[in-house]
Amino acid sequence: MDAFVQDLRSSLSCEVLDDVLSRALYATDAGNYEITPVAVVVPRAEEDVRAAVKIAAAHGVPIIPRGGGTSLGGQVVGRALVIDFSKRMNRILSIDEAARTVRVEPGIVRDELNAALAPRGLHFAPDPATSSRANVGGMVGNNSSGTRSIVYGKTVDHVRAVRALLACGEEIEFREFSSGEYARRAAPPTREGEILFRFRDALLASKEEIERRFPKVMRRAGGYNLDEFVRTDRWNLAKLLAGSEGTLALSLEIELNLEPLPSGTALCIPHFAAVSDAIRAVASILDHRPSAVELLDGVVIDMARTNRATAPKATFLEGNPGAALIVEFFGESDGDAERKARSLAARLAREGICAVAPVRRDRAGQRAVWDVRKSGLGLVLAAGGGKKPVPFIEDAAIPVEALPEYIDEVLAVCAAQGSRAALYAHASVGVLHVRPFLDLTNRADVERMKVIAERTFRLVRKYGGSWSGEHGDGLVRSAWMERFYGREIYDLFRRVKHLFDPEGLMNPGKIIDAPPFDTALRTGARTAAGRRTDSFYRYGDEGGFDSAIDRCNGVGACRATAGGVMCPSYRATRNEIDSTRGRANALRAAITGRLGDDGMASDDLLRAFDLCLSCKACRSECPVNVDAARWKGEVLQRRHDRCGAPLSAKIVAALPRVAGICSGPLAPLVNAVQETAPARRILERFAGIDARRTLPRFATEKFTARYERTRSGRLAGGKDGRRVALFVDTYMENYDVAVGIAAVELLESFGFEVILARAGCCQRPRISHGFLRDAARQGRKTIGRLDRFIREGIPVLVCEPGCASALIDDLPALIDDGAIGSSVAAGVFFIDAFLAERMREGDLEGPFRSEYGKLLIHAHCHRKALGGAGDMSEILSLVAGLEV
Amino acid sequence: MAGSFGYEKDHYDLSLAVGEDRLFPAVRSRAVGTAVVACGFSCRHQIAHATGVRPVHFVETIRGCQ
Ligand SMILES: Cc1cc2nc3c(=O)[nH]c(=O)nc-3n(C[C@H](O)[C@H](O)[C@H](O)COP(=O)(O)OP(=O)(O)OC[C@H]3O[C@@H](n4cnc5c(N)ncnc54)[C@H](O)[C@@H]3O)c2cc1C
Ligand code: SF4
Ligand code: SF4
Repeated sequence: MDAFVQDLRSSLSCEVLDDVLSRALYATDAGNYEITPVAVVVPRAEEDVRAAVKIAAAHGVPIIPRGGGTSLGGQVVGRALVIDFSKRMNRILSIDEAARTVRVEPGIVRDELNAALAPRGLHFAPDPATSSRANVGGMVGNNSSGTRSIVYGKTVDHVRAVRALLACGEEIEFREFSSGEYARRAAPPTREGEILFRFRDALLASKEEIERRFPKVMRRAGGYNLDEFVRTDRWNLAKLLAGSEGTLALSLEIELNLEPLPSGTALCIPHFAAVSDAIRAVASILDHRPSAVELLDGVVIDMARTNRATAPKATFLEGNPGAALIVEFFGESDGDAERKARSLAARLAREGICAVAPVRRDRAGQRAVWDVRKSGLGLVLAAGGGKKPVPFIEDAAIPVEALPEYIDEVLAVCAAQGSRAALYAHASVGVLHVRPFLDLTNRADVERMKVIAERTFRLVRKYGGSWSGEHGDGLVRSAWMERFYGREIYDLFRRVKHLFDPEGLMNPGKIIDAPPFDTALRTGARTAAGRRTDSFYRYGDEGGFDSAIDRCNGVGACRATAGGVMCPSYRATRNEIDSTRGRANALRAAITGRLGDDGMASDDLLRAFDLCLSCKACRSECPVNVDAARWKGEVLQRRHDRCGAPLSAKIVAALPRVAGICSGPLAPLVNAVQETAPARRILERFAGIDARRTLPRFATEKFTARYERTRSGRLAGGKDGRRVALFVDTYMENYDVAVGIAAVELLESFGFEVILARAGCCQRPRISHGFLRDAARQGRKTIGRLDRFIREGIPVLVCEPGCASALIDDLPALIDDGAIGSSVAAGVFFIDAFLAERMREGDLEGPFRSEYGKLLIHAHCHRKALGGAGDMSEILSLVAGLEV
Repeated sequence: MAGSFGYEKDHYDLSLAVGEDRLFPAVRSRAVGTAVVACGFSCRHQIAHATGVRPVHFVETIRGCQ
């Protein structure tokens, strides 16, 4: 392999990655499989792809094209050269507004493409749940579809042309031809002629069998799309590439159909007592021609209503339903759509199908419903302790009429194996994703998975469904192809594959000639390693450090390029290694011994965490709430233990103490000196503080000194005994005294008596720089001091969000006395969260005043991470005339 | 951005890039007379560094009636 990589390096001007870590980062997708690739190429342009393919072919190395890597079935996993189109081959090449078409490079993210098209009122319509990071190339590869497929169909319905590169180096543009044109072209000696000729030959010979064996459901995603060629004489082989999962050719350019954006939308949300009632109602709902029908099952509903982040949005749910459907309507206008929604609600009530069916027409109301659908699913996927909702039977598409019985039977199959299952998605087209909870590190559960798969497969056949309805075959469903389609069709699949890729180099083992579906499970490495990695944090909720890492299932929300904030380092560099998923995979490599004996302290792991900002955006936005900031602390501490901490980290971690010395009388001197050039050089050299940064200035009078001078003896007794403690943080004490004073004034103006809580440092600087052991020791004292207030029933309020998150979230999981940690965590509040809560309880009387007219709020990342970033706006909204 | 991360020598550029993604442009293009609220000390400081605008803490923006 060395010669291969050397050849790549000498011929390509783009990134060629073959180190252990990079290969580990590309060994998985969002499915259950893990195989280390040979190497990874990140092409800048077509020339790089061409050269890489040529070299791989010469060395006989297989090739896997890759987009966002969000496939659920191991489509992009294999021992091959991985070509990652997502980082740099992501341009829009041309837009033809009149013809409603667009030509793109395959690496463009679906939502980014649509953001560019929106001003023209157009969009590329297929909408998989992963649209914020799925690439057009990957969507074509998997023939993706989504929530509104009942209107828009699948990606295959929108591909106009693909300029493809075959493994042999030939390039062919596949597009639609009339039968005459097809016949003219379908002749050797050109490669295109040969493919067109033989494909038609083979297909026509098996036409009846295709009609017979391809399931008649709208959502069929397994195998090759041969059914696209039976009832038409206009043939387009780009439609064969759609859904071919990179097994036939690489796409270099893709031309797509565009649809006008809907002008009006509205939702109707019928409530049901049980999931089975909801599913039974789908068929009648479809008479009303909705654009989407999505299921919320009882588990999602309960979780969404109790979770702090989703509860405020889940208010559209009335009473205690056991299930609900989200039914969306398009219309000429919102009013038109609303009329359709109301007419459905009326019919359901009239026929006694369901009594409660609220309608939402406003944008914000609709968004709240979709948000609950999305994040509620995340909550379910995160639940289950060591067991995870495993995708393997999730993708069956069943004729809608048979859906109720099918779901009953599948749930019974799972229950017989002692497994509960999560249930969600597209009721409209009979694709309800069923994910049984299993722990695949446990061999007995792997056996259970096999039993469930086999029984479910039979059910799908019995009901005339499709084994794959949306996510494709990958390593998880390909092994069933022959049984599903029968010998003749399977042979035809083989011939198709051979036509395009006679050497078998393109993504081998997918669709045809696949290994058994329980090989190469990603949990295998951990089962083998069979150990528990020590950690500084407790990870109680996650079931230990190893499970906390395993929670990352690769869905790649951290690769979203817009919306939310996760993950800022990935957005800046677009490198997999700088995404949260990259960090989770790097850690997995470390704990399974792939990064050397002391992998947890390795250079590789340090590299993966170097650009992590510890912003904790992942803590709230990742569907399973991984907390990479904690992981970064774990890595840094081990690193310090092995190599000694760098001086710069020590200095920064000691800053709170230094600040205590520098503020007050010494401040004028220090402030003057620290800005001089020699001081900046020293600070840059030893403390690693960039000389271009302006430095914060120390206060000439500390907050507590000022407080005592100006306010002592003014201890305003609180109204009705209201008392709070204000946590004196390093910043208000030594730098920004005005904040401390303002906080006291604010609290007093709401009738609170304010006591200062001088409890020491929250330990944020130590925590961020990997001094977890010291932080635990010192933090124990801080927590002990705060506990005194809390035991007296006095809430502790914190102005600095980084300090609050340390006290509420990090220290409690770090100190040895977990009990006192949790009790303190429950009594410490972000100051705005505390006020918002009291306001909601009606404890704070207005009028509220402000000297400002308009405010722009930047919420601290840790504030967002722990929920309730809206508290501030909520409070400020009570100030008359203030715009936020 | 992001606390002390933004002060670190090797991370200066990334931190500015993260800020430029949305925050700094939003601060610069805010309507006249709009104050910027940021509760984190280093958020305030880094916004000031990059945009010249001095943000305030939330507690400085509101008072009750007593
Ligand atoms: C939580 C979750 C929800 C999902 N929901 C949906 C859903 O609602 N609907 C749906 O359809 N899917 C869904 N998926 C599956 C997946 O996200 C989609 O199929 C997505 O479109 C894949 O895009 P990607 O860029 O990640 O592709 P990848 O995973 O990178 O690749 C997909 C396939 O395309 C091939 N490919 C990629 N680029 C090229 C190229 N340039 N040339 C040739 N072949 C190429 C790959 O080899 C692979 O076989 C979901 C996945 C997850 C994790
Ligand atoms: S870190 Fe979270 S968002 Fe990113 S891939 Fe893993 S589970 Fe998904
Ligand atoms: S803490 Fe922030 S930068 Fe680090 S992985 Fe999470 S989202 Fe990314």
